Amino acid sequence: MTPGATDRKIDKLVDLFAKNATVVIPGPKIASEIGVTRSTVWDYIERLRELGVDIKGHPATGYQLRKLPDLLLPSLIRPELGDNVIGQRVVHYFRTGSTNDDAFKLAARGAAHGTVVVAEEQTAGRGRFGRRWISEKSVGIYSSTLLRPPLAPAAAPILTLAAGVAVHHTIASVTGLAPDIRWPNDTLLNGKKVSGILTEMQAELDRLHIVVLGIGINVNQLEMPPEIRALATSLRMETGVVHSRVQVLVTMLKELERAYKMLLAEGNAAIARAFTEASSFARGKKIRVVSNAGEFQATTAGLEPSGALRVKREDGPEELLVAGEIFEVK
Amino acid sequence: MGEKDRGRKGPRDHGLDLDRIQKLIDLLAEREIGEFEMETNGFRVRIRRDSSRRPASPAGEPAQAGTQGESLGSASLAAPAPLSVAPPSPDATAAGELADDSAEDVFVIKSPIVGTFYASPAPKAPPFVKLHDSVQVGQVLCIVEAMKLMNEIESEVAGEIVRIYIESGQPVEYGQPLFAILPSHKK
Repeated sequence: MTPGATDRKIDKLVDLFAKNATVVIPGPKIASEIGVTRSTVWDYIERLRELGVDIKGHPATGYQLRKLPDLLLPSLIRPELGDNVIGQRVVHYFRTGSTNDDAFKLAARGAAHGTVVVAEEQTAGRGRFGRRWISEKSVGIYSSTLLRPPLAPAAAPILTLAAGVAVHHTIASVTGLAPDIRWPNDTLLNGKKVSGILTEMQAELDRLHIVVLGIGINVNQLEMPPEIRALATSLRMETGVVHSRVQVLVTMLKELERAYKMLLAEGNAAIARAFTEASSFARGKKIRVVSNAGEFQATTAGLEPSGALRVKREDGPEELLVAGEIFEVK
Repeated sequence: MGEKDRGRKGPRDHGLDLDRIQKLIDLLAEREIGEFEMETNGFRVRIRRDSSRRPASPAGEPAQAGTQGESLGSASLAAPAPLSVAPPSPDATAAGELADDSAEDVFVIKSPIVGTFYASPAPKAPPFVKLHDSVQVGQVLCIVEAMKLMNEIESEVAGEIVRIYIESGQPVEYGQPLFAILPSHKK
């Protein structure tokens, strides 16, 4: 059985529990409803318990869900989204390699614009240049959104800023804190990264096929691995409370829809404006620019409508950044 | 356009009638050739394309000339045409197209975005492709990044990499040639 098929069966099991919340469901009934053996039901229940789902077993009578789990299940997410196009289809994995890879595979089979892939755990979560994105089980959001935008490839990079703005607004809304965005799209809390976005595009010179927005958000991690402790944080670490991942994801998909619609209706400049309002990095920030060409220091001098960042180099001329990474100089 | 009918129906009394000029313009536009001039037995035609506008009209000086009509072979079209950063023509659909010195039918893969060219998936990883590698349709050739948008450029033809125009880490402009590929199914 493929992992995907297992995931769908477990989704069905949780669905069944959710529809019969607090009711004791006999094991054989569960087995026949989701089409597996009783021993497999037992196995699935154990796996859900490992994910923190509170299921009580009653000897001789069956299983009972005590509380709806905070899993990113389509059955929990879809009803919250209304007519949002982004998230009109949610594909959920308990465990997968990389949701971006899954989204590309789904796209190759014709998946629609707005399809969202989410996973409880990624075994090969990645950032740019093969960097690892740590995707520990059920504490973060590991998602990929498939877009088929009516844009020229040359105009597509602004989508990464739109996604950054959406994540910024999401985190502001669920935490009540005031996050920052580091160009082009890292959302920061107290100067540390809480979200990473890996955007991948398939395009020819004048025809954009698909864009996959891979968005990771650190939600309920209690601590970060030592090697990134100085750079990264989670919503829980900053607020001291556990957040509902379902709520964070639903909010994020709504914000993505909003930013995407704004881009199509009002154009690049609207995204650049929203970014400028949300980010302390847009203007007057002392930064270090790191790229393949080397490093230099500069002061930011505003965003172009295309999303490119204008900087004034310390050693002289103004320059327009379209690539590279920036870091604040304190 | 008073001469249109005559040009179409009339006998081949000179090498370049309006139909031929029109075809020539179409061909030049298709290949994105910016400027072209030729002379054949006293008949001179010069065609210039302004990249921001539609192809310009021919500025010819009709002359009596008893030359044969078939002199417009492709050899005379192999003019150098460095137009790589022109804005897209709205009807173009492919990332690559025939190179301008098209005697070899070489397919040129161009960058769809302004950004940075990466020959390999990670800094220390081997490159996606090397010179003289043979590649398949859909094979990833490189990444062009802009504002953290990673654009994996795939080959649209099967063939051999005969030229890599740029080094990893270098900035690229829109439409800048990245690879030349000699298709394996040469006609």
